[in-house]
Amino acid sequence: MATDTSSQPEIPLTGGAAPDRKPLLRIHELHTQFETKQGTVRAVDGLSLDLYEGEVLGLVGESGCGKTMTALSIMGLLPGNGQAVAGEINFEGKNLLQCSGEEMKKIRGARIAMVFQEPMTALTPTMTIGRQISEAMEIHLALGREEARERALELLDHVGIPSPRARFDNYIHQFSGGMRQRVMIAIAFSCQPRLLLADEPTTALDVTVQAQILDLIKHLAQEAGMTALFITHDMGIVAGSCDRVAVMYAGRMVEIGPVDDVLLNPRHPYTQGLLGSVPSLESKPGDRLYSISGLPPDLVSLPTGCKFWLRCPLADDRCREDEPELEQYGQSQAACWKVMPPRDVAA
Amino acid sequence: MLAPTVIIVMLITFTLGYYGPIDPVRAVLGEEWEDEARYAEVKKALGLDRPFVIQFLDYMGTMFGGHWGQSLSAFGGVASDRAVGEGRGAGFSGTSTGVREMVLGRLAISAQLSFWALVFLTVFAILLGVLAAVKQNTTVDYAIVTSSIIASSIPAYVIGPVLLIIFVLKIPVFKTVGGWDGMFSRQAILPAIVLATGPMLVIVRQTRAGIVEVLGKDFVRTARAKGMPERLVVARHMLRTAMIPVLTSLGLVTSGLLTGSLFVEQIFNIPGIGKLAIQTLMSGDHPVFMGVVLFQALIIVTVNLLTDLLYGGLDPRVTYD
Repeated sequence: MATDTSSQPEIPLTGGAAPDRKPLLRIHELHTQFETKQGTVRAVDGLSLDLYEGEVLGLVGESGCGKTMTALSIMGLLPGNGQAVAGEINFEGKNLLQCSGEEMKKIRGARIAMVFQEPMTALTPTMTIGRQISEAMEIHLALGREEARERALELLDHVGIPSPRARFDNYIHQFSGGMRQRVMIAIAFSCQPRLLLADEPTTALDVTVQAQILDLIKHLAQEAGMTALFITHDMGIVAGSCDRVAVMYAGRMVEIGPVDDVLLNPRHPYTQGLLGSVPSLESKPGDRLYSISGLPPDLVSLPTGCKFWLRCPLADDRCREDEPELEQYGQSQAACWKVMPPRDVAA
Repeated sequence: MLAPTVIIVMLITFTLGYYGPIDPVRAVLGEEWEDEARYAEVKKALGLDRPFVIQFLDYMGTMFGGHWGQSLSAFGGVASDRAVGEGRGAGFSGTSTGVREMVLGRLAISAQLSFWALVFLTVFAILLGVLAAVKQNTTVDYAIVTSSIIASSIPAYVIGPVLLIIFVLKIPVFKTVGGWDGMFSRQAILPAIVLATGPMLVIVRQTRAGIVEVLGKDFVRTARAKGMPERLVVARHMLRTAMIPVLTSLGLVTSGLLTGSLFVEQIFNIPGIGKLAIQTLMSGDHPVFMGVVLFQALIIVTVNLLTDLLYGGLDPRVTYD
């Protein structure tokens, strides 16, 4: 790993956020690792990211680029022997990485909530959905069982479950995929957290339901003035739902900026590749869909220099030897030696 | 399922009884059996001179009629004194000679004993299993698993007497050595513990495996993401799912406890069904022995059925039509 941490900017650049906004969550130089027989897997490798109050930030990248591990590092719920070995995650004046188990339990669910990808497996099959919603409120909001039940019924109604009273005592197998995710959302919003982490909340759903669920999350988050981190690989979701977008590759950030700017003027070849692999209305039938060649690097033995050079059409010797840092280009930042000039400047 | 199983068990026990080495006539007559006239007379009285098929049909008729027949001791034989009498423990009041009364009376005692053993198992073995799973691969885990292996490996006829020596002779916690004085008497404690140690390992292991399997599930992560205390995560989100395989084992164990408490009942001199089986087998009291076997088969079938019904209580996805 060739990252030279001392040369990182002292004050993280706002990455396209409005300057008057206050950061709610600041991730600084996060390193999350797993020990395996093959070696140390660097799932998140020196990620710095600020989330500002009230914004929706999309975190995109291929599978295995560290998006989910970033979210689970924030929650302190890394699986197996995964550990955030270095860095800071500052939230409401606390470094979450140094919080005790008890402190984290007070934050999880109450201050930071998470919506998971697969609503079938992410909800307990042997517990009624009503209880799954109400139990967290009993703990965090110190509600009695009856009060929590009433609140849960309101929440069920609010997330669009018809006849909540009849549905309260149902089990998850009696719900459709979209309904399950609505329950998941009701759980996440139940204790009015400040920050919502949504890990591919619509990936497992039918296309027709995806938009409804996204709208629901957006609507509820706006209503509650909540900050949200949307983890996705769907550029359509980013375009439709997010204020800013951060692109991750091999555990680090390669580009971040306002959605419009990044989608219209992607600076990093990887971002361009991601956008290029989305079919557009202009493409003709029979056209081959663009795809980024090769596979993401092995997180046990990362290449030197830019982590993307193996797959990058523009890579040269410098890319192979020196790792680029995030630099400001227009409203966005990108970590690339070969950054394209923004289209509006070139024109 | 029930009826064919019972008929097959009846056929097997009856056939074994018919061709087996023990002669009921001799059992009834005792010393007198060499008197040929007496022998033929008793044989006719017992209906044993008829062909096999007739005897079997007659037997089935008696059983399904709910009578279950009479103990050979009713014919004034030695059976009741020679073997049965030896086993009479404190509190045993089996004066009836009807097979049904004898079996049911003894079964009640075995059931009470098994009940305590089952309570002991469900409370301690499941608790230990959960603890071992939560503290997976730590000293606590190893200690629990190892001690369960040891406890279950020592046969009841070793553990029983050792406990008797310790708690009756050395530290006199219990006054009497054995016998039965109702399920709420102190005499019930030691035999129940000994009875529970055998299946202990199965339940501990099964619980541990069940919880370990659930530990990595997404819904457990969701429960933690809600900030639930670990104790509630285990109790509400993990236990029910993890208990499904344990329930299967508990069903088998229950049948085993009810039907296989032979050693424990013998050691602690408890007049349960296990002891009745031994006594009647040794004394050649066929009608009673066959009744015991048949009833035990019934128990196993019934417990299996109950187990299946209980799945529905644990797993909401199971429904019955």
